[in-house]
Amino acid sequence: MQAQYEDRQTGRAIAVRLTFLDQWLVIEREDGRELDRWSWRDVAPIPGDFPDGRMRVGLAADAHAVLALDDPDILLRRAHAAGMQQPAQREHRVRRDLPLPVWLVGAVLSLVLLVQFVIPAMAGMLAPLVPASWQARIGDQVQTIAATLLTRKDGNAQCAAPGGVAALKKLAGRLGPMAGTARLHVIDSDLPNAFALPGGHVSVTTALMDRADGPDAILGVIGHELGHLHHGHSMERVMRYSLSSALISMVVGDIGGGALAVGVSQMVESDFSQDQERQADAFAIDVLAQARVSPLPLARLFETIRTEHPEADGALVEWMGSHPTLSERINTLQRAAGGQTAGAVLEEGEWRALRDICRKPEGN
Amino acid sequence: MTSLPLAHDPDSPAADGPPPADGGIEVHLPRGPLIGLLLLNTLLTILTLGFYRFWARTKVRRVLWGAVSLRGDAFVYTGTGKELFIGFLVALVALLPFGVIIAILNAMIPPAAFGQRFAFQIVVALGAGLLGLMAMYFARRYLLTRTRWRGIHGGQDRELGRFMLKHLNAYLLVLVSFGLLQPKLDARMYNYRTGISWFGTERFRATATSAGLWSVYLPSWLLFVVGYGAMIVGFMPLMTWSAAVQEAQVTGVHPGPMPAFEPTVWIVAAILITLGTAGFFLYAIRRSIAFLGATQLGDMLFNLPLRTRQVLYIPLVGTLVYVVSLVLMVAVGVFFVRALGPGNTALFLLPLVLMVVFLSLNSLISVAWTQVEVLRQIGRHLRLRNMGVLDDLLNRGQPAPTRGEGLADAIGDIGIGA
Repeated sequence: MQAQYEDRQTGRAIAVRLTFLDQWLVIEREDGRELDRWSWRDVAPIPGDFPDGRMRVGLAADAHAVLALDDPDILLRRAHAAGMQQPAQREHRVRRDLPLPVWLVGAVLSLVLLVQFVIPAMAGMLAPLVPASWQARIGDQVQTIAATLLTRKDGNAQCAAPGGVAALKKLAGRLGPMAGTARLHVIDSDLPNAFALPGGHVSVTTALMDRADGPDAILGVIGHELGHLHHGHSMERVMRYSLSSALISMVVGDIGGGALAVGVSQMVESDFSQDQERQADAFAIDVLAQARVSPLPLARLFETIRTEHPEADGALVEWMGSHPTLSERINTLQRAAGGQTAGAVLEEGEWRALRDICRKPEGN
Repeated sequence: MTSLPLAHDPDSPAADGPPPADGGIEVHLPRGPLIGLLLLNTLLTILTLGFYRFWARTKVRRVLWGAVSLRGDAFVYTGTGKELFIGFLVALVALLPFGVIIAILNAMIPPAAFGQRFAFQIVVALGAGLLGLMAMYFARRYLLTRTRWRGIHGGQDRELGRFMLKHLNAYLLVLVSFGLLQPKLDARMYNYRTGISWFGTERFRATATSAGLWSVYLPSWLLFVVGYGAMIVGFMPLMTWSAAVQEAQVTGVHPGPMPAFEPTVWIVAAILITLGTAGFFLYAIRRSIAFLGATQLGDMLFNLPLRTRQVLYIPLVGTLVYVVSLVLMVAVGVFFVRALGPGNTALFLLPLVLMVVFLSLNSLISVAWTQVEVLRQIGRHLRLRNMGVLDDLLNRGQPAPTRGEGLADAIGDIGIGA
């Protein structure tokens, strides 16, 4: 059968012959060369008023080429006679797209919702579902790696002098039964630091002990880390960080995206982690109060660190940092100070033994 | 209904007779304005946290497409930033569940369990490979449908399933042969991909073979095999240590410090792999020249009489500029750290500044240098025979996709387009 093939982009039109083959409507030039073939299921009338009154059929309303038919009924009868399936649509619809601002606002809103609410909620839900034994395995390995990395050159990789270990146990014992379940470590390091890991690991570095004016401050540090364990922060944090950085690196994309993703994840993460630090500080204040230990030595330890590292207290740290500013933490501790510590947490000799926990035995 | 007039109506013969049957393409691509555009794009992309990249890419493509003319008429890139952006959003929504599952599994594997981590990475890489294939299909289709010349658009057959199967089959053979069969399968896949592509009512066809590619591929393959072998040997102490770390939790025996890498083995491995990469580069150049020369559009034959050594300066200069710039960046970074002191707050800005420089450098080398030079060389050497085919072209009835290449953006760079 004859029809007109119209190229709507170039405005050219040529006479063609139409035949059916399998599921195809085959369009041939008058000299018999094949021009195009369309899936008959997808062929339908094109909407619109055409000046010549002829019907146009094609594969989509915005298709670049269509067929102009004098009598569409003939085509349908031929298709029927050839045993073709009925086309899927009565008429093509003109596709309309939402304006760009709608997409942009929708995308940004979804992203903010995901990062601020959905991911933290998911992490909070999923973290406790990770079996304790798996969490402990992760914690065990990170503990070993962190200890290996943090131990200073020529330092003792195994800080376990018997006197120091006894002192550490006695010190933590002051905080009650929860401290008994924790696995306490001292790392021989030049970096003043302390951290808690899944599996009940709590580590304090010798550099942090050197800056403390007594064991009460270290007890405060242990109380803070126990707070992280109590609230299950570690696993939740690992989950949240993984999820948010996966999402952000997908959104931001490419090489530059990688770098940006770290920055943006850090900013998002710092919000939550600052909240968690405040929670852990509050926990420390509570357990110290129950143990009748003043939080002021811990505040003084923070003051010492603030003097050493004034940059750790700036606006940038507040925005990007994982911890609240030291000034804020010192104020919180000072406000909470109720009274003096009742009885020494460690005797002078025990405190000395604790600070020497990393000293290698004579002769080694 | 839109109807665009032809720049040259092929039905009306030109005043000086019919156009010649043989010829080439003209490439007119001044580098200055392109560099300005690339720098502005980088800046805007960073300022918008990456969102501008869709519009940035569109603008670059418009310049590159527009620089190429055939019979006096330039190619036009008709894609839009909005299409790319929406395509990306749609792909992101589809990929999100996978991203979440991967992130959760990743968080649950202990960091020193190297064996498990390695297995996990392999599974993720295979999944990404599958997605990469889909991405390549959609990206090709998008780029072809958004390429217009004299009102005629390109396109690709709708056969995602077959496309994936054919490529998976080829990749499997490459994997089983440890990469040895790559040239053969590269040719086979090029012929297949070309065969499902068309421009207007004419179909592309390719008869590429691996002949002439082996002499450059095999040496590079050997270098890789030996280089990676050396790397595995160098990696063994770390593997043993990681096993000891896991054991340490049960036995309580400290595994000792992380082993230092044996420098000799690593240096040898690095040299071999670098040489192998350079060899593979040579192979890729020769392959592109050979394959393009084995292509045709209907009866119009492509011929690219270009020697590998004529284009070797392109990757060499690019690499040199890259290395020198990176060294300079490190030097500047070290200088600022020393000058400002390690505690200075201003140093927080240094990574940001270096990132802007690095990204600008990246786009300048890959687009303003490499792509411009490649296009110029093709413009200078490509010969087309039986160009009369072009006079007969009409558009096809198959609708173009409304969304951009999306998936390619969501899973990262797959080496398609600017």
